[in-house]
Amino acid sequence: MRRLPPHRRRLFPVRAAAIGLACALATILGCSTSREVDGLWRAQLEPHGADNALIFGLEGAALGLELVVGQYGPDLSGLVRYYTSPDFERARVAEAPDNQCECGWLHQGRIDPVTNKVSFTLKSCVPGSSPQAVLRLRGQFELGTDERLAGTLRVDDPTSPLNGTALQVTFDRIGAPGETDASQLVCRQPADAANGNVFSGR
Amino acid sequence: MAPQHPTRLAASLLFAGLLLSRAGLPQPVAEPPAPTPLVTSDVADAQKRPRTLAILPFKDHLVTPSDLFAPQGQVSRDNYAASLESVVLRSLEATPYVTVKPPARVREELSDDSALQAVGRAAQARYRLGLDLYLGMAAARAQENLKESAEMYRSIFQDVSDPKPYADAQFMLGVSLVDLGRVAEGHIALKDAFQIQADRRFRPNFFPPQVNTALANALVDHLSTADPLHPYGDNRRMHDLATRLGVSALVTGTVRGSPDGPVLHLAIFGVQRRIIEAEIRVSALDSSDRIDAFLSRWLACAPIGQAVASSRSSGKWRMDTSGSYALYARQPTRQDFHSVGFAAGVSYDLRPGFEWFGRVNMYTSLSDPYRDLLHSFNSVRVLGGVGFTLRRGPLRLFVRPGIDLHVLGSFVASTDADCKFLGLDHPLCDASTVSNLDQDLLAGLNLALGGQVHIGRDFFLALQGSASSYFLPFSGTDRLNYPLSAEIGLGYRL
Repeated sequence: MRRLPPHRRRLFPVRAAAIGLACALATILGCSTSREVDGLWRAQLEPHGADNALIFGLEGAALGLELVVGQYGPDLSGLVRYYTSPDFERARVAEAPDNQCECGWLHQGRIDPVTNKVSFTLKSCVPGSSPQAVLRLRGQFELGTDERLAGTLRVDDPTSPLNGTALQVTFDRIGAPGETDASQLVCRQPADAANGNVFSGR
Repeated sequence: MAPQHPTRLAASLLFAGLLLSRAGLPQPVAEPPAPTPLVTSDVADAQKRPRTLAILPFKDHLVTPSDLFAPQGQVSRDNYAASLESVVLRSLEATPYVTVKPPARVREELSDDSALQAVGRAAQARYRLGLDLYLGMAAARAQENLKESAEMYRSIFQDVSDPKPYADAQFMLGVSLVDLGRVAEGHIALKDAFQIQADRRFRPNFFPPQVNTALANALVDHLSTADPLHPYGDNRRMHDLATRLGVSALVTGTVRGSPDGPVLHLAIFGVQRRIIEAEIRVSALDSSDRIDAFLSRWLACAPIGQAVASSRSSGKWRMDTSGSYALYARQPTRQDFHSVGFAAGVSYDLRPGFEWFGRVNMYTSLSDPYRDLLHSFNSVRVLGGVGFTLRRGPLRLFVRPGIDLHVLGSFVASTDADCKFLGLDHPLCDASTVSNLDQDLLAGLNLALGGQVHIGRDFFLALQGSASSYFLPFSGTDRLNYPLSAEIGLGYRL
């Protein structure tokens, strides 16, 4: 075995310590797989049809779906907002606001820091299938490396004839973590917005 | 009667007046006083402080190697050292604005110091153990104990107060080293022993012949190479001794032989400049005039009113500023939140090994991983108490028990994500998950462990870790308690 020259042998403990420290830092900082779901997400839903029998607009029109999420460790909070058009301009139409469901709060939101799987319960009215009554839906998504949140919204309400109805949704990230402002956290239920209040997504 | 001329009348009246005035008033001194030189001590100065000096026991090196193994009574010697000490003492005592500590008082102060007595007892125990081991033929373990004993004696200036125990330990250290075959180290140890007590005698047949040879060689080496101006060690040790005695200068003397008879090497060590400020080599016989002149010259040149090194004020105050880190062993958040800040402290040595201290810490918190802490938490801690210190070379260790008063800023935490994202007033926010520490003050006990490493003349690097336990208010410490902190900073000894 080749012996190291004396000056290199003297440096060996220093180098070993430096490499050990670098490995420890890499383990702590670089090998973590957890990602943040915090921020603003949007998805365009298909019109009412074979692929979408759950969330749709007036006369089966396509809708825009927006997810506002706050993440605190493994806990999630936030809301889902429905837009009357896929261009995300209006959440309600002024002419018939009581027929439109604008938004709903997330409950029991969680993200698994290892698998990056997101789950929450949505208790709200649902445009199209339940615009006036509260329906309970279960959302289960997976946060991918491509900054997309893909998964299903499934009715989880045994008292409803829609129980088990599911919708495949893929959200794209629109807002970075920490950029949510207070105006995006306003959610009026149909009963509170009977006079034609609208939400501008711009 | 013929009338007198007016001018002559006036002159007669003036002469008569002068005669009358001289008859009624004291006569002026015929000869003016002889002019005397104005000296510093003639100048009245309320601010002028007396210079305090200590005369260390003079060393007598009037020994010869041939006397080394002679019985004590067979060598008759004049005690030059004691008589020259008296000459120096009389000269300094006659000088105004000088306060002198004679050798007897120096010995007394060092002997009566309880802290030094404790070290002395430990040194004596080490010496006895070392001697027993040496007599039991375990020279290797003996020399370890004897070396430790000698170092302890040196640290308490035993060579000044009573040199014999120190010399015993040092001689036995040298003897054990020679026994072990470590002749060079033994020679140095024996030479150092003669520096402590040069007139030591030994029984001729007590030690093996090689030890007797080593003793003789060491004495010859000591007499030919020892520095007579530093009979008690280097300038650093002299400074430490002067500081302990609370004097601004030390007077040392060494009497040595020469072809012209015994000579005195007299030196004055100044604390302020930490050097030998004046030295003279005079005959030990009838040189009192030269010694007087030498001391006068030094006193005339030494600045008056210089700070007197006082053992009560030198190096007693310490100040430091540190960066500080803290976390709490009990907190309302699910994950630890870390606090960083700034600390400043002061301490004062009440006596060796004992101090009081005061510290102020200011903290601001960093976000915890789950962001349960809704906003930054700022607080101020005030700590005070006493400390027990241990000094080893440049390192000073301390243990500080004390009282901790923690003034809290606003502290609101929640484990509910809805409260954090939507606000505390939102209907979805569960109020039962919100902790709002409404007490302004927590009080408890603190224990700190730390050390100071002197990195410059009076600068030191300070490291400290501490833990506290709050118990007041009685119902307010269940959510935030047991802070652990670490500090690192720089300080200065005043």
